[in-house]
Amino acid sequence: MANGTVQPRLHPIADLNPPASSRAWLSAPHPNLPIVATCASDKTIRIYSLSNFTQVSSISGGHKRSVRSCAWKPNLKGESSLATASFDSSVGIWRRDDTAHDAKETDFTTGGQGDNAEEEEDEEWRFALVLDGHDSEVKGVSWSAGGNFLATCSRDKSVWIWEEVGDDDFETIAVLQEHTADVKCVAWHPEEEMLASGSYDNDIRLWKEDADDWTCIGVLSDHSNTVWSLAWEGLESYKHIDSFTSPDHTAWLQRRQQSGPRLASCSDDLHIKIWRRNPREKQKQNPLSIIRSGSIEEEWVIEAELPQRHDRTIYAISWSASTGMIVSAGSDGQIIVYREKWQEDTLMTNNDTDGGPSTSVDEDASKDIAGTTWHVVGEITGAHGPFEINHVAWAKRADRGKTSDQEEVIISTGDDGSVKVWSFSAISESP
Amino acid sequence: MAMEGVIPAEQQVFDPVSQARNYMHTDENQKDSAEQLARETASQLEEKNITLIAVIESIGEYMRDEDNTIRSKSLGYLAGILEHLPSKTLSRQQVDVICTFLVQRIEDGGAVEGLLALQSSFRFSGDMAITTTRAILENLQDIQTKPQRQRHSIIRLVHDLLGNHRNAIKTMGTVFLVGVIDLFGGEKDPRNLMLVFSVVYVVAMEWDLENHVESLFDSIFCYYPITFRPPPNDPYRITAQDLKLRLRQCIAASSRFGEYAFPQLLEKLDSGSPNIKRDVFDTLMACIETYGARVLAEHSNNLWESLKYEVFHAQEEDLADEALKIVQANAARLCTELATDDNGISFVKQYLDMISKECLEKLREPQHKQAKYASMILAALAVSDHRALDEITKAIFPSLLSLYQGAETIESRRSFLECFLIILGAAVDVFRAQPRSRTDHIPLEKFKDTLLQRFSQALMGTAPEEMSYRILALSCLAKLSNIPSILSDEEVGLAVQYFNEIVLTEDADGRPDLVSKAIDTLLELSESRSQILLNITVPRLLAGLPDAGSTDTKRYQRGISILARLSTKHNLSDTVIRRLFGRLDAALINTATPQYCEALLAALAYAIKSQLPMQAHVGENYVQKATDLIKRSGEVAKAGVSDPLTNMGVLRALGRLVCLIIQTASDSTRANFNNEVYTLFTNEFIITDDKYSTVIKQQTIILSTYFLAAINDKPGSPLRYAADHRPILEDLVAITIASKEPGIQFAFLQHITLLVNKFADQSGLLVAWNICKNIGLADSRNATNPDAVKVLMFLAKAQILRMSNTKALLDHLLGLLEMEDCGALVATGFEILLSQDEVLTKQNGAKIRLLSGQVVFTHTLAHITKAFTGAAPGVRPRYLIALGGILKHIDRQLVLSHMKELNPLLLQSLIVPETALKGAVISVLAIAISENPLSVEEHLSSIIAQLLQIAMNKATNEALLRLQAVRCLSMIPGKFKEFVLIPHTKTVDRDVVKVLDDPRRDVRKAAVDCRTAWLALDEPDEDD
Amino acid sequence: MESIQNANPTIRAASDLPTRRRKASFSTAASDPLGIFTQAIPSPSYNFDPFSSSSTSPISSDSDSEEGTEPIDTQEIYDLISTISDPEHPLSLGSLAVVNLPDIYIRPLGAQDLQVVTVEITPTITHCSLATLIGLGIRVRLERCLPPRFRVDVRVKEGTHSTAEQVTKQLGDKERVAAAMENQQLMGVLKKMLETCQ
Repeated sequence: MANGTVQPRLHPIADLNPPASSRAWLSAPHPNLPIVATCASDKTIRIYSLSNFTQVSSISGGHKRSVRSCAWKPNLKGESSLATASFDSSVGIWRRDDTAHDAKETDFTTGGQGDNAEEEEDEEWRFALVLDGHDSEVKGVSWSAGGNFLATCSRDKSVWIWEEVGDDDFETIAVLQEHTADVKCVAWHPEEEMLASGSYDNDIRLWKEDADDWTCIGVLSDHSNTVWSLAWEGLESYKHIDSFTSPDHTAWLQRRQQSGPRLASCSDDLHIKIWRRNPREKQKQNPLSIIRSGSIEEEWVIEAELPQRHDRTIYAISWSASTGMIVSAGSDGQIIVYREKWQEDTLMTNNDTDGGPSTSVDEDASKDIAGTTWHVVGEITGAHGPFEINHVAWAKRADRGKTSDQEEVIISTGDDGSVKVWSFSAISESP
Repeated sequence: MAMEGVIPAEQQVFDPVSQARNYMHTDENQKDSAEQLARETASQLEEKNITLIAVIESIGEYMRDEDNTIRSKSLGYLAGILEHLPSKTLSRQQVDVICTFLVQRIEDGGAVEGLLALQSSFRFSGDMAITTTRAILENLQDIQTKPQRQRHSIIRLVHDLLGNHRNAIKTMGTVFLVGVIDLFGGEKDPRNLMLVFSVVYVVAMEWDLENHVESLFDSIFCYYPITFRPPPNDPYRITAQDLKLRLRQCIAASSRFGEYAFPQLLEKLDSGSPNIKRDVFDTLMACIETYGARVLAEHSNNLWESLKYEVFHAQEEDLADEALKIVQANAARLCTELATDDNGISFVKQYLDMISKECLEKLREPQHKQAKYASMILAALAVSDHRALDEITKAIFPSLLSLYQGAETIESRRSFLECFLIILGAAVDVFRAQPRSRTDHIPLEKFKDTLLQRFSQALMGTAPEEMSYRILALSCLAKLSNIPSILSDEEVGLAVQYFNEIVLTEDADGRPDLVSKAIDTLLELSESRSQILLNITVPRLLAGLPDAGSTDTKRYQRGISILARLSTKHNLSDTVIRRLFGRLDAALINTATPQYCEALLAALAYAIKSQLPMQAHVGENYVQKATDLIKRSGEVAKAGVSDPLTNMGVLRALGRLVCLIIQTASDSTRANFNNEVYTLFTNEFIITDDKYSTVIKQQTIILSTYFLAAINDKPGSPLRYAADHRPILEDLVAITIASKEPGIQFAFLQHITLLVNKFADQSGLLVAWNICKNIGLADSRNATNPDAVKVLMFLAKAQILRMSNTKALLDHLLGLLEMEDCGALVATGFEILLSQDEVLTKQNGAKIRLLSGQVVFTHTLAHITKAFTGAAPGVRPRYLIALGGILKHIDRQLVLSHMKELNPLLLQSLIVPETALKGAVISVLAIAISENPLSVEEHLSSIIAQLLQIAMNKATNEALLRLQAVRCLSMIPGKFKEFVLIPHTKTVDRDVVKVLDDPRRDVRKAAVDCRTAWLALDEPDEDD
Repeated sequence: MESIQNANPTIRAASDLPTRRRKASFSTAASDPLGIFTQAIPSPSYNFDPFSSSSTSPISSDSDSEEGTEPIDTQEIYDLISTISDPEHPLSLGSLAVVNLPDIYIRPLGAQDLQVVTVEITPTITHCSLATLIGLGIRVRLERCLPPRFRVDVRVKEGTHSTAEQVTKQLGDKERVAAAMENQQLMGVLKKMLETCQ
């Protein structure tokens, strides 16, 4: 473990208060407001302020069972819309008029407002509508980049795509049933209208609309166990890779632009894999992707595997759009942060052992894109004491302690019902 | 008009005609007045104011009327009259006349009622009965067309006639038999059926059924299985059960029904309904009890065929048992009459062979649960009678034994043992119920050797960890040995030797069940074969005991304790006790280890105590032994040599033993002991010039304390110093405070307490009281000296228990709590006041007043409740500790009645650091929670919070306390209303989870149970 | 459970099952099966002395010292689950040999004192559709009874079940287990199974 000994750059900033009374599943940071929505097995969604780390409001009474997942609709001005997925096999859409609340969330001086938040709930969150259709527990929900599509997935092995056709009016436009078992997660491509789904059948599937018919355009099967979470690379985050102007590097940059954002996946098999689309013009057979007839088929290859640090199921990963760093967490209670680094001599140091920097496992791929390796740059064990961690996410930092507008924090969500906020100190290591 | 005056007089005369007219004019809803009229007429008849003729004539015209209803009514009048006529009023021929008269008109309504009334008259002759019956059978066959009430009268009439004139009716023979079958056909009314059934019952029992068996049987079996739901307020109170029983009687009434009853009943078993099955079983049982063996023999096969199905495929346990009972009853019945078939093979044998054969088949699959039923069936049969037992034994033991030998796996062997066990169990019962002389031929004899050998082999020759298997083997061996007169003493002796080995050598930790089972068996055998135990077990156990004792305490402890256990058996007791005394002497001579001597002494005490219920003066037998031991200990003390008897533990054990012996000796012996032994001892050791110069001499106080306990304080008791307590008490107090050795000091304290409580007179009490006052806690030297405080407390105890100066003393002590130096010590000392003391007991003649505890508690509590709030923070804990010390030792009911005052103090106590106090408080809370939850309900939240704190905080609370706290917590669910608890569930769960990680296992276990209990509250969530 | 799947399981007698519970209750009686020495000798009362702090319980004495700590071991795990009742027989998983002491493993996990408990179950018959239910029962019981630092893995022993892998994977899926535990009807069945726990 050469660089197993990284000084943890993770520092706890705060626990969001009050915590859920039982297991919390996931925390979704708001796209533009300094708030985060945490859903928990107590059937409640709590909205916390990231400025003062206290609960600003909560949504309860909507779902009859665990709220497993939730997602903020992007690109909204003046109002917020939250989609919630529950074990009661329903999906809820909640609306709120932000203008009334901007003040509260940006205002640092107000202390614990837990109590009055309680009272405000009702008038604050409006239950817009419930999307019924899944036969059993809904496990994931995700809005497309544009915000006009909503994808949900369930234990009933299906992925549903809904289109918002008008105020509080959704229409089912696709029911995708190729997965052979629970679909655990769905994630939309950051710009294209392409959906990725991960499943208990160990596969990742990519979906696109083809002549107003949604079809599977790629099956990424390399994991040997349940795929628990998927994360897309930010649009241009690869630019953050500290660069030396070298021919390789510029070439590499071009290839990146062509192939577009990559996809990261984590699994019960303890691996985190980075997938890259092979740009169309030079398609060649690749054992790692199933080529299907038809024009819209895409070839995706494994570009890299992240150093393996987790001892038990990895439940969540998040890929920072701004810094390009990936954070992962899971049953072993660890939070690990990985960073991609430029590496001139990748070609030589190809097959590296786990734990060390690992590079492209795909010879061809590495030939046309030499250059980067992933390193563990931060880790903390027992982040939630003895408890499992169900979710991690990057979010903009908003409390007094923030140093820059870009600064990000990591938000972890655990079986103890607590949500913890971690700062990740700026990187300044010598190559 | 002269005659006018006469007319009213004439009207006084009773006029039957107008009476009859009046009757005839009453209408349906004037029944009462109608009856009234009939009654009047009856009394007139009775007083002979009118003649029967007159009455008959008075209704003559109506009876000739062509209108049927008028005729009936007139007859009804007659019936009414007869009813109210004492049975003797009418002369023989009057009865005859009326009878014929009515019989002629029997079809007219009312006639039957009339006859009903008439036939009860004792002048009603058999012939009349017959004529009447004939008339009924001939003319009333259209009965079913009549309304229920009339049907009832008719059936009742037949029923009563049969009841009152049985012999006459019997002479009618078949006529009657056939007649009633037709007459009753199709009857549905429960009230009538009750009568029908009893008539048929009589007929079936007493008539010669000739070739009408089937029709008679059908006439009643058509109602089977009878079902009937009585109407809401049925005036006749007939239950379905009544009908069932009557019908059952009928079916069981005659053996001749057998050929129809069995097939049809068994058929009914096919019905799925458990209730029907039960009814059928009961009926079969009834039949088996009454039918003769021959009949049963004919149907035994079918019976078995259907019943075995019920057993092997029973859906409900109890049904299987029912079926079993019948199989068994049938066997028992077959045994009672040794009927044989034409080939002279007894029916029993045929029946049992058949069953045994099938059961054996099932037993070939020993794992299958049908095998279990098979052995149950066999056992059921075997237990029914010793003949049955013999047959079964012959039929199955050979194959069973070979199957057993052939079995590959321990599991299957185990199931065979189970089978043996069940059957041998049956054998024990049979042999005990029907003793057999060794002379009569017992088939079991033939197998006993093999059985003995197999069981022994299984028990001693199997891997030790095959527990259940070996336990079974042992049980079989036990049963076998317990069958009277099967095994010879030698053979039982062999088994006993195995048991000895097991009780002595088996790993009692790993295999407690085996060991205790073996011990129980030995004890059981000691009833029937005490000699064997005396010859084999007792010596073996004694042989296991060392002479000089050994460091391996386990070895001898086990032997000794088993001996002690045996000694509880009356017929072993004396021998064992004497042997133990023997070992003790040996041990003392060889200066064995004190622990060993102590063990022997303890066992002796246990043994002697156990005999008390049987012989009140058991001690008498061992007084000599006791005296010798005392002398001996006295000498060694004097000589100051080292000896087991100079060990404090041994001395205590000896003390207990001697005390027990003296107290259970005869009064004379006891008096004698008082005078001689005690005086001797006290002279020698208590009041000598060099008082307690050496520790060894000091130790003698232990013994003398027990003597003090043993002797009775009759006037003239030889207590030399009883006359004036001051010197002796002051002496003892001084020595006590000086004494450094806790064991000895405690003995002194006990001695003082006993002296004051048991012997002190007024003056003595005064001395004690003054010592208490002036023990000088005021001067700081003593004030901080726990020994002084102890003396104070024990003296106080001695007086308080006999309720002398109680309140004054308490106030004194409570006052001390406030004092700077001694307060804390005194507080701790409070526990002494009411704590149980081994020596200071009623049985030892101590004066313990019933109310003392209550007084101490209430007085203290009252004082503390007042003083607490005002007290300085430093002092408060002392009050709580003092209170806690008392709480530990008083009756829970008393505590519960004061929860109101207690609650605040208890909660305070949970915060103070003193473990002992917290422990006491938690146990009080536990009692309150379990017995009177309401008393603590309002404080529940704080109680829960405190308990959780204690449970979670490993650092400051020792394991036992944590354990108590968690256990107390887990008592809460179920004791309070849900809505009281729900608010706490989340907190409790959150915190108890932490306790799940406690370093101590038993605490964790308690936490698990606690969490489960609380989770159960949450479970019934919202619907789905 | 419409029709009984295995009408005739092999049953191990309770007395043959390894447990610490029975021992505990007997440990005193070991040398003294009849408790003579506890009955005949009243608790040596000269030790009773409110002033000497030693007058406390035996177990408390070493409670906080190191030797006083009794780590959770496989026997303890076994005792927690062996008394769960089988859903179709009125018998315990222990006596049906569905759970066996040798098939329970505990291993440390990662840096802190995290521990992983692995329980391998042996279904009574190779195609017992109740295997999942049984496994779930065990997992629920252990998650309730063990401190959170324990991770519970319930797996079907290789070669003992036709669909061992599927069942094991299901039992390992946190989400599914969580969902199951929110299913009242299912929990009703589990409750029955767990009622007999000691």
